[in-house]
Amino acid sequence: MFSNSNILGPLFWIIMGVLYMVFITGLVVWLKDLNIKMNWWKWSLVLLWFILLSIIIAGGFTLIGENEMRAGLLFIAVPGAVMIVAGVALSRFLFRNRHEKQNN
Amino acid sequence: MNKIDRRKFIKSAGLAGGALSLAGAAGAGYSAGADKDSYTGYGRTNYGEDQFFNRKPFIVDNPTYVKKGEPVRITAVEDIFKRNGMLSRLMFSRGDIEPAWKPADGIDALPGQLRDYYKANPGALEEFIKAMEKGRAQRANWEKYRDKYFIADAWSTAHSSPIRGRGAFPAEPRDRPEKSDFRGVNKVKLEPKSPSHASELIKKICYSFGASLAGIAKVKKEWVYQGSLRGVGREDYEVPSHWKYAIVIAVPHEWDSMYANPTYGTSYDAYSKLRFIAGKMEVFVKELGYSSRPHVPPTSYDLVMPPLAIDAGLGEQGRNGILITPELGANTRLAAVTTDMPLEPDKPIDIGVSRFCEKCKICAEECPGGAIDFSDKAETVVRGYKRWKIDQNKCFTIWNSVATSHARGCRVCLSVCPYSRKNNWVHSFAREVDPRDPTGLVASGLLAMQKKFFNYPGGQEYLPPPDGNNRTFGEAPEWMKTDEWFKI
Amino acid sequence: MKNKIIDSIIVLSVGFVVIIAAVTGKIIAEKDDLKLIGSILKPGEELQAVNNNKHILFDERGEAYGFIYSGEGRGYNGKLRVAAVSDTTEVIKSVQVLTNKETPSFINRLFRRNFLARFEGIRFSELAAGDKSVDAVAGATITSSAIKEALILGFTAGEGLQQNNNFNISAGWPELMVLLLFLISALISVKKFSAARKYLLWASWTLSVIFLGFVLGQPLTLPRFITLFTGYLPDPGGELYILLIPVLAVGFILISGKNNYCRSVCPFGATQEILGAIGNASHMRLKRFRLVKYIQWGITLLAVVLALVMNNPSVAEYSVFGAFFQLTGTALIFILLLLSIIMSLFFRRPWCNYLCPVDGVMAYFRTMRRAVISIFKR
Ligand code: SF4
Ligand code: SF4
Repeated sequence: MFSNSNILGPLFWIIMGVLYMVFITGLVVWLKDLNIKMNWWKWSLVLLWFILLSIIIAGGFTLIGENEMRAGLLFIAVPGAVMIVAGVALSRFLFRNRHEKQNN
Repeated sequence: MNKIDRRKFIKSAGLAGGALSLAGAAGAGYSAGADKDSYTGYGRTNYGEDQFFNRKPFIVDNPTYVKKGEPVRITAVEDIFKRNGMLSRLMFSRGDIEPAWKPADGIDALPGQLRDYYKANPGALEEFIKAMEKGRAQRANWEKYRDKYFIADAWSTAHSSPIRGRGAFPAEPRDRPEKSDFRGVNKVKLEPKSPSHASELIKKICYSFGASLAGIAKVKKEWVYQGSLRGVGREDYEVPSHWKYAIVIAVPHEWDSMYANPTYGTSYDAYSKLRFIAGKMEVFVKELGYSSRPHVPPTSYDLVMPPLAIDAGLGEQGRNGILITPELGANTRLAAVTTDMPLEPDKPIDIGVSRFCEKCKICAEECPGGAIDFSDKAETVVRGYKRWKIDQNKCFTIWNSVATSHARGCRVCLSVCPYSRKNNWVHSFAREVDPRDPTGLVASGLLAMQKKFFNYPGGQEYLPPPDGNNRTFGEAPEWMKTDEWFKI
Repeated sequence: MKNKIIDSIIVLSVGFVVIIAAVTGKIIAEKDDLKLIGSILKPGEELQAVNNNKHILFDERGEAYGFIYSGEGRGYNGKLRVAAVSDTTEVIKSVQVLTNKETPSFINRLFRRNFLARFEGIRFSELAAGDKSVDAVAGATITSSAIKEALILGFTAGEGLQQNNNFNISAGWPELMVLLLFLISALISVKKFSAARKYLLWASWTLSVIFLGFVLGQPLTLPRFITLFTGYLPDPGGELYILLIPVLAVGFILISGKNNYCRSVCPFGATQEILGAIGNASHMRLKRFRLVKYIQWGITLLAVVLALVMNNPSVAEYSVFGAFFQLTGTALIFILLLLSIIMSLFFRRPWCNYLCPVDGVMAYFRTMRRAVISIFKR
């Protein structure tokens, strides 16, 4: 990264770390407000989904960086579509539990 | 600040943070892909770090090529350069004298070796004549394409300068090996602590000279040419007893121009690097007190390189007939130095190249000449070993057809091979996982992605009009595009 | 009453337009064969016809140095003409496809992958006898075998040899699968099975996505209807099921008025249903979007007319099926596909309802049925 600077590289990853922290904090509040009860494996599923999504996006852009535009876009689009479907399924799953909890 | 606002803030910051982190992942990915440092080799390090693939888990006792029948040494007439050279001298004699042979004279009028070869390989002679025709058209057309490939051609010619003529380095041997290989050997000779010490040192020196990969092999008789020996000429000979070990070195072509084959790339960049490394290694070994003889491209060999490199554990044989290494893929060019220094040979490796090639066939589909075998398994027996057949003559026709100033190669089969990829996390994942997967599922998945996602123009497209569109596999690097730098 | 008249008018006028288009397409003459073959000659070379399928090739010095054999093969969308240059010993030197109606992305896949070059060096007699062959390119099998067929037929006809017309219609699991899917679709309509309806639907969708979609990659598309309409049948020996699908689909709609194909057989319809179930998709209120529906059908009609006038069914290919099941297609098609997939999570069958060309064809047959019935009822 940043081949002309040895300052920006570490800085970039520090900022990325902060972003992840902010994201998780926000997510926790968000889920609470939505009345969704989380436990360890639900968290694992959510984070796994997010990590996979990040990897797919990073992988696709790696190919784009290699000048393989078509491959990069397809690399994002094909598993990306699967991720969207999985994301919708996952969120429905989380929401369903919420209703059950409320009904009980 | 009231509580609702704070919650709202944290929530929206979280959302923004998530989105930004994805954008950051995209950015990190992009720069990993665009990073020129992720090109393997080409003198980035002097410490052997280009040979980064851990071969230990893949070491096997026997090389992965398959023996079938009696091994036979290759003769000069089977070597395309020597064969074409012999035929050209007959057809295009200097001065006004009548050519010694014209196509109209027929195969039977050819001298012994050539006649036997062309009789045994029907169509090969016609292919050569076609190549000559194509070559004339190529030179006539060059004016049309010259401006576009101006820098590429200059770059190639510059790289070829250490190869040609009297100033070539290393110099051609001018004596029998028993003499020339010992010429200049140091009278002082120290014993290495052990052969393995010697091997390790030699490889370190190779890297310091700029080799990307280095390995040691025992010289097998069947890899030595027959019927023609450098420094001696045409004669049958026994393998000299002092050709005990071969130090095999490999370097890649400059990657960006290699991806832009056939027209932007060249062979000479890797060739000249190899000549420098092997030539210096010859001197180094002699200074240590041992005999040595360099074998360097384009044609100054007494041994066949790829099988030797397989013995040295550098890689495996591909469908395209090229050595495929884990680090460089098919973008691997080879030279060797034979010596009697006591060395410890490396062991061959098995990373599943032939299994992958059986399914892949990309190079066969992309070869402009249709010179590469399509059959599933490597079945053609060549000089006692099974392999995929490469039609050298068709390949040579393509060298004479693509839009270059003269026949100076094609190398599309190097560029398109899925093994010839950068050293970044995406490709390293493939590189490390595929050979560890015994089921072959990873290979199939990777291959499906390779074929569906990547843009393969297809063999014919690389040819100049009317047959194709002068396509290159990858885009040319901007430093090779003439219109970026010159008024045209 | 009024509706019935409108039905008849629609059926008749659409039918009229389509037939006019088909006739126009046929009238625009096909290119003369000799001219086509002439285009592959090098300057100075001459041809002399032996018969329709065989020409002798003379070089610039007037010496005969080979033959050109040309013949026809049955491709996916229509006949294709292939010519091959051979030397005097009948060894193939080069192969060219003179005319074809295949979907460009399919036939280009063959050209790009050196498919034609794979015939070089093979002797015609070996090819005809089946001693030597060339593997079909994955994803374009019908076109591959059509080229092979054309070469063999050109040679046997050119030499006046006995043509071994092995017309063995063979049915395998693909045909059984299609029949099974339609059987299930019929059961779904039966009142008695209404309890099992849900399970039948899901079984059918799953089977269809896997086998018709990903394994065979042959959902019903517009070009298929057009080729059938113009009376062209692809090689029935190999791929009977691709004929079976349209025949059964149209048959069901004409007999029962129910679109069994779209409901449970179509693999992309099934995909949308599965996605809809995942996302708990809601129904779209169709009434409000009536105009969009007409646009959808209008585009289909336009595509049919264009394809017929240009005498090339592949022109009418604008479905996302290939992109989804085989990852082939233009960038536009991929975007359309991505949109359809995402929409499917929230609305039921967005592709079927607003874009799919098959929907229009089915609607036409349904209207035709209605019109005919109403006439008889009167
Ligand atoms: S160098 Fe070119 S012509 Fe030769 S085998 Fe490779 S791809 Fe084919
Ligand atoms: S392109 Fe494919 S078949 Fe050819 S050498 Fe590379 S891996 Fe093997």
